[in-house]
Amino acid sequence: MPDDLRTLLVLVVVFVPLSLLSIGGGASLLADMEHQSVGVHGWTTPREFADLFAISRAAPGPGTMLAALIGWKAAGWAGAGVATVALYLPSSLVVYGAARLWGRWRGSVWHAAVERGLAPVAAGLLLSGGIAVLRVSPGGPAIWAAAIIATVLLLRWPRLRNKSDDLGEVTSCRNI
Amino acid sequence: MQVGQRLRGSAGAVAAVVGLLFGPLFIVVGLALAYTRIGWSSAIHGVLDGIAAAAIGLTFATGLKLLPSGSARLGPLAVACATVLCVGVLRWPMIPVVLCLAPLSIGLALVQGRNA
Repeated sequence: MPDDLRTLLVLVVVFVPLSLLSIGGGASLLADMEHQSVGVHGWTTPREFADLFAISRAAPGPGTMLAALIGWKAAGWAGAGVATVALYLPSSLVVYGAARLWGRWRGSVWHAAVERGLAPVAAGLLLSGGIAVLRVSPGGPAIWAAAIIATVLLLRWPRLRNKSDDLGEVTSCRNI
Repeated sequence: MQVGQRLRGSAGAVAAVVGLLFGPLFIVVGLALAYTRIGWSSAIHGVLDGIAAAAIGLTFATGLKLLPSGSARLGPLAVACATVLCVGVLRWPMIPVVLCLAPLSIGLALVQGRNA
């Protein structure tokens, strides 16, 4: 039992800070989630991480249900619940508070600078996340090629994008 | 969440969050359970690889769309490249990287905003 409890605590310690820094939505956390669950804590094998990523994206709901799956692999149903709350609650509270503050600042120099300043960091994190999943994916060059083709298609025809997959996941001052 | 708050106050916000999170949670973990039962099938791996490729493409496309356009884009592009290098290639932990680069990037945007 103490072992389980420790795993749950580690899940909280890993996901809460990530939650607070999820600029650009949950997908920006992919790189670190891969690093933590495959490399640091061994909660999943590389193959499992790639498959769980796919499952989390195939299902409805917020895009980073991946956290729930990692928690589930690490510590069963309790882990799934703990990881979900640890990932969503802190950033939700920040958004809740920031929404009020941010509205007051709208139009100020700071408001614009924070928005424009965070965008390239979020962009870099999203690209890193894609790279991280490709790295653990066992599909080899074929999946790299498929991912690049998908990228080009989505940039060309933005309407292919699912609205719910858009940036508006949990946080990001850009959405407020 | 904001809708829940508007309709029913704080309790509404909490209910909205719980409903939004735990509904999908059961579906996703249910799918994962099914996957562990039949995960040995290579057809399933093929399907999952396909979904993963599309989802990675979506992530890439979203990231590329966030890149700045117009004038004065060199600085932001450098920040984005530095982020990819540190987190994506060198695999440094994301949190210290963001804590260093985000203030830098916001400062840069502030300076550029003043000059514009």
